[in-house]
Amino acid sequence: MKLHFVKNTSNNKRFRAGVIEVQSRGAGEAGWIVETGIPGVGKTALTKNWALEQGAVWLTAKENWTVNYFIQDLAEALGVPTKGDVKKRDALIVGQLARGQIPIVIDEVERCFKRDFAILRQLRTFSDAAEIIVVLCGMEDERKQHIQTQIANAMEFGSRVFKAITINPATLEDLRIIAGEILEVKLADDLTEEIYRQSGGILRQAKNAFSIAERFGLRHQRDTVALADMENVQLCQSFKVKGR
Amino acid sequence: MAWIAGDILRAAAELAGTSPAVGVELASLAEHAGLERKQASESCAVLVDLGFLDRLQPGRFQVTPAGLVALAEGSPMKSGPKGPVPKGRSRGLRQLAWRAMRMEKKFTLPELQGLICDGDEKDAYSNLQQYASFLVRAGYLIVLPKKAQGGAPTSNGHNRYLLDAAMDTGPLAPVYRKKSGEAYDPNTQKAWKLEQEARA
Repeated sequence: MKLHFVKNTSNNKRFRAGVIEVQSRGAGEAGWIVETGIPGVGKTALTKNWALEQGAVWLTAKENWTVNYFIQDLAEALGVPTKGDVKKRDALIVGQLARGQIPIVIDEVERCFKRDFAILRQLRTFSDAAEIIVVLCGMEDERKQHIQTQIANAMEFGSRVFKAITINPATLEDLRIIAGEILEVKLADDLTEEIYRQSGGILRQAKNAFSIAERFGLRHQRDTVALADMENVQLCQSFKVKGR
Repeated sequence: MAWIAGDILRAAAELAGTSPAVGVELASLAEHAGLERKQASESCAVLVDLGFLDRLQPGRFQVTPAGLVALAEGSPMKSGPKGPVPKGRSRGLRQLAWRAMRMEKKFTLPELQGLICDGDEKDAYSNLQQYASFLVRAGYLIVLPKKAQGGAPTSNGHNRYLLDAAMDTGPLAPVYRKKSGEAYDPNTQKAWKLEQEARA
């Protein structure tokens, strides 16, 4: 299996278009993006790929984060000294962010909802001062109130500073593109369609199935692997796949 | 000074002819624009970021509607960042790898490759191996005792690395100075000699 990030998927294109849209908003406005999706759709991987290109700060929210702990983690990520005068520390943070226009990504943002969203309010202080992009990633859960709505309401965001992006399960075309780019063998259409059906577009499941098919193809020196070759082979874990 | 990515975008539109939606190979773009392959590859990456090109697959690109509009308007397409950038911020593979190591803390090289590579790189794994080897010798990375399973049946597995938190000095990638046999950390601006010659 080839090892690279496949950029040409619908989710990745939509995420990057959303970033460009937020970046092109009027001068002097920070832009917040709230990105959510169910587990396994590739949300973290695509965000990390973008964040690494941009040199963004990536922080994973912790259960025991306080505002000060968050600021310390941010300072360390930027290479700003964490000891000494806190006013100077915060000023250096804003300076670094502003000079470099360094985006900030917070993963597992649900953990920042405690204490009346105090951590996000502090983050907004930094991002408004430095006028940078902020991307908040969270897991969508149909049983709870949607993260995007919670953040928008709590932070009193208007539409000009806030963009919501939902990362969906992969489409069949996405799976064809990914298989075409990373596999050392070709998959017949019927096999790709079956993997799509079984995985429900959950990339974690689909990639595991791709790996199984590729191993078969390489072992039997086949250029193309078809559905008939996978008879009695478990491609995806049998579990109830959530509908779209 | 002309912006060469603009030349690449024009070349992509010209080569696609009357059907701008047809993709164009990287080698054809380089030849048509009279550029080195590496220049063309880097320009394509910038144009993809700007939304003017789509990467259909590694080494094959397509002009987007936004790219066509930019060409038609004769926009003064400027490359570069949309704001000030600190000196030394790089898109090079090792800089990307360092960022990924700081992000992941614990990783294998295939995992890093899956995050930072887009398929256009030459010998990415070999480059990452050499860089990781240097970082181990310089004390930044620790090789964990248990290996990760490799994909191939005959694979010996992959080293698992841990970034030593005490050596996570900042966002700029440490470099190996081959001539002097030194490690240099641009975050602390300190250099020190490494004991053996690195292959980095």
